[in-house]
Amino acid sequence: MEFIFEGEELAGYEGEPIAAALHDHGIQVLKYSIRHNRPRGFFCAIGHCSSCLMEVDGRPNVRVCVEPLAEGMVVRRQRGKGNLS
Amino acid sequence: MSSKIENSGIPSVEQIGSSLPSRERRNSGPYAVIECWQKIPCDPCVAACPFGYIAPMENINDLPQLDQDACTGCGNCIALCPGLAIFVIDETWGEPEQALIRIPHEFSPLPEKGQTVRALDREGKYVADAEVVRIQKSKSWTPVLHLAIPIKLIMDIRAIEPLPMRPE
Amino acid sequence: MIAEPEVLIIGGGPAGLAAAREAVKAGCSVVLLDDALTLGGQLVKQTHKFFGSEMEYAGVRGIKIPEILLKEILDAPNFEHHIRTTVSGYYEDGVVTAIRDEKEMVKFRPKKLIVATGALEKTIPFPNNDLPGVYGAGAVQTLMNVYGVVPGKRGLMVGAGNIGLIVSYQLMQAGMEVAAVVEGMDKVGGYWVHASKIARLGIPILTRHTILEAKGQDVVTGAVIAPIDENWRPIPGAETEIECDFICLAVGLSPLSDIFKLAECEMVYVPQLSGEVPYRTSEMQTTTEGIYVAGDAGGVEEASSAMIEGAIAGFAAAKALGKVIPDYESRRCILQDELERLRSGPVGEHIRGGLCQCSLEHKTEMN
Repeated sequence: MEFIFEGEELAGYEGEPIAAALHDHGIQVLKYSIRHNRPRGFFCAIGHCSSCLMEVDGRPNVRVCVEPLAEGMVVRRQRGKGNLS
Repeated sequence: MSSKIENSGIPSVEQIGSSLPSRERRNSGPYAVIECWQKIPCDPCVAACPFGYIAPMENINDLPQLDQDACTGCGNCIALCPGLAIFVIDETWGEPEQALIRIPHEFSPLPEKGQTVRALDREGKYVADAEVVRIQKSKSWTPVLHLAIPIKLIMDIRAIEPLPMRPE
Repeated sequence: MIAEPEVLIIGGGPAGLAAAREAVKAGCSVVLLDDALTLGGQLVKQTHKFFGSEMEYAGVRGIKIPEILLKEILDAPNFEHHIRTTVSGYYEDGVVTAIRDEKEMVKFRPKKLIVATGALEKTIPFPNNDLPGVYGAGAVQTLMNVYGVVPGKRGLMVGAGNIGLIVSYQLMQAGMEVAAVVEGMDKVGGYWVHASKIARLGIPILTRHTILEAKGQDVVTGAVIAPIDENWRPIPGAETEIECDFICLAVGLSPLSDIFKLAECEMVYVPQLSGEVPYRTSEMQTTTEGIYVAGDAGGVEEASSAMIEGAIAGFAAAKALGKVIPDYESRRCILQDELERLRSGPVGEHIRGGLCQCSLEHKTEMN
């Protein structure tokens, strides 16, 4: 099935973690750190380290290493702390 | 000072030698060698031998004790050792300069029968070509390869170079 | 609405599943929560064959074990489980809150609580250790073995405990290269058979070595390693550059003990158990009445002992609830004996040393 990453349509498997789907496409940089803009990616795979937080369907701070992919999901790299509104 | 094996995974000549049976036994047919020299909690080999030639352990951390004179070389133990530490060697097989070794090989794709593969020494260096005589699939998903190797390398060869994975 | 199961189990790994099996079979109403996408904890990616003995499914591949543990209870009317459910709090009135599916909050007030939350991979400091391409070794195992995604082409493994050695082997099974395994100690921490397995595939094991830095802009493109002296200081001028596009850190785990602290269980820092753990009785009960611990959350060890501890906790919780359990004492002794057996050898020594420091029975004797 298809999902959207930063405006681009990508293929993935329904139910796999979003981070795995992105990785499959060679996308390893999942976000940039708040203060120093350092690239961050997949680290612990169990949703405990916060290195993989992204914006999914408008929701910020989603732990994409444990979030299952769904058809049509819109995934973006979060900049800063994310907007809760 | 730590020993060679705990530094590198490579056993010493003495350790390897301690797992081999007598010269007489080696000349009479296939035999299993259990290269397990560390006391860890593990005992599936005991139940793996269909004849009971690996002694039941009083303490699960004991080293396996195989009655090598009785061992028939059936090889049932090879695929069942979680440490992939058991091998069967047959020095009476084939030409005088050859031997047959049976090793566990948990890689895909498996070689084909009759294929020549690259045999490695305990440091992973290529030492000889080996012919795949037979491939045995097993219940625990650990395939066992029967390889014809030069007899002088029976103490060294315990693995083959994995075959390149086929592109999807 | 607050659900009130007799037993709530937090964590569906080997400890939690084993606890669930005993508690369900003893007739308790059991709810099990796990924050992952499937049950099984770290078993789901453990494709290698287990050690130990028959009671812990030695010789069986880890991935098959959750099925075995769940077989008898999955369809039981007194067993409920929720995945994608993260426990968010424990309150003084014994209420446990959790977020399910990132959408709703659910609440439980169980009579007995078994905490089997496992452990988290540690990291070590070095420049650029936060770059994408630096993974926990367990994380790489999950990516590869569960989701079929390859982390890169050539990796460097840091740490030669069992996880470092086994994951290096699994990386090769998945078609990747492992440049080396570096280990700061003067010997491997894992089983020699695992070390031999990778040595004979050509993976060099470099003891008394450490990683100095990761290289790369947006992702890892290499690493620098160096030999170290007895004081763990890198030997100047002896650095080597390693070509790699990913780095795995297999430097230990830390028990996930937040819930115990919320429940005000008495804790103690035990280095041999890799972190702060709750004091517990031999029946796995903490100092907070009705709260039990099992598995790595109580001290980093192995899945084999996690399963037995889980069974002891599940059993003990059921007994404390007044369930009739025929031969309770003898069955409990069999489990205790098995734990002792597993821990009786030289490799179990440091665990035994750690366990005395958090045993409530031991603490009482000392006072």
